[in-house]
Amino acid sequence: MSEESDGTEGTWERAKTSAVRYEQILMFHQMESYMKGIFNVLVCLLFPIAWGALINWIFTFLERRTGRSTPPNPRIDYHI
Amino acid sequence: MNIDISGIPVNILGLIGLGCISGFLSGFFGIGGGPLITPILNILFGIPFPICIGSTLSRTAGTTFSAILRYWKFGNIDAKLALMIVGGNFVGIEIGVYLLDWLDKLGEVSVGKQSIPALQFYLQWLFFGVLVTVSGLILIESLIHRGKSDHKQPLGLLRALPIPPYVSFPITGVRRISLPAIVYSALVIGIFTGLLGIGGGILFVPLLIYGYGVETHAAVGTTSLIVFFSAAYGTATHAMRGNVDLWLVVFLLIGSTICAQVGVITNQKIQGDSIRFCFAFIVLIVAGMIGFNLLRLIYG
Repeated sequence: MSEESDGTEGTWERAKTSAVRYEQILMFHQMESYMKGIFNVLVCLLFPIAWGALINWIFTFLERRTGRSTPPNPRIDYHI
Repeated sequence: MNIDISGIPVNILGLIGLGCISGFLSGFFGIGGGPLITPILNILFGIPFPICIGSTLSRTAGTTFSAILRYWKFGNIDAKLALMIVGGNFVGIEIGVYLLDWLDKLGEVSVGKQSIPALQFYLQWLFFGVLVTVSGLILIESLIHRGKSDHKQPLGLLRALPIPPYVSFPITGVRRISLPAIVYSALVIGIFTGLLGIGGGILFVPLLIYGYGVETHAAVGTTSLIVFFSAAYGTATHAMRGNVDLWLVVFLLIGSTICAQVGVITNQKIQGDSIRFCFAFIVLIVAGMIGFNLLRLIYG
C-alpha cells in the first residue's frame, strides 16, 4: 500500500517530536519538584540532629580542653 | 493620641500599657508575652494577624534580651541546652511561616451569617486549643503538688525515650536524655512560633519542666535564651514578608523592657510550684478571651 505525500508529514513529525519533548520537560519538572520535596523533608529531619550533635561535640571539646565540666548551679535545688 | 498601623488608627498609650503587662509576664515566667499580645492586638486593636505576629516576635526578641542579662547573672541559663534546641526550632519556624502563607491564600470562610478571613478564624481556634491544653495540664499538675512539703520536681517524661544518641546537661541536672527527643520536640514548637507568633516560651517552659525534667527556675532562665533566638529568627523571616511594623514594635518595647526587669526580680522570690500555678491561670484567662471572641464571631 503506497502512501502519497500531502506535504504535511514534516509538520506532523515536528509536532510529534515537540509533544514528546514537552512531555519530557513536564516529567523533568515533576521529578525536580519531587526531589526538592524529598530534599526539604530530609533537611527538616537531619539538620536538627546534626546541629544538636555539633553543639554537644563543641561543649564536650571545650570541657575536655579546659579540664573541667560545668559545675551545677548552687542556687538551683535539684530534687530529681 | 493615635498612630496609623496598616491603615488602622491605634492608641499609643494602649500599646505602651500592653507592652508593660507583657514585659512583666516575660520576666516573671520566661515567656516572650506573644501568646498574650498577638490575640489582644488583633481582637482589641483590629490589627491584621500577619502584622501582629511579625511585630510581636520582633518585640519579644527585644524584651527577652533584657531578661537574659538578669538570668545569666543568677546562673539560671543552660547555654548548651538552649543552643541545641534552636537548630530544630529554626526549621520548625520556617515550616510555620510557610503554613501561615498557605492559610493567607485560602481567602474567606462563612461563619454564621458572615464571611471572615480564613486566616483569622483558624488562627484563633489554634490559639484557643494551644492555650487551653497548656494551661489545663499545668493547672492540674500544680494543683496536685500544691501544699505538699517535698516540692519534688516532676520527672521528665522524654527522659525515658530509648532513642540514641544521648546527651547530658550538668547545669540543669539532666544526666541522660535522647537527642532526637530534644530536637524534634523543639521543631514542633517552632511550627507554632512561625504560625502563631508565640516565641515558644509558653510551650518551652512546660516542655523543659515536664518533658526534660529541668528545675523550674533553670527552665525559665534557659527558655528566655531559646525564646530570644527563635524570636530573632522569626522576626527576620516575617520581616522579609513585610509583616513587621516598626512603630508598633517601638511602643510595645517601651513598656515591656522596663517591666521585664521587675518580673525577673519577682520570679526569684517565689517558689517554683507557685510560678507554675500563676502561669497556668494567666494563660487560661487569655484562652477565655479568645474563646469569647470566637463565640461572638460564630453567633454574633
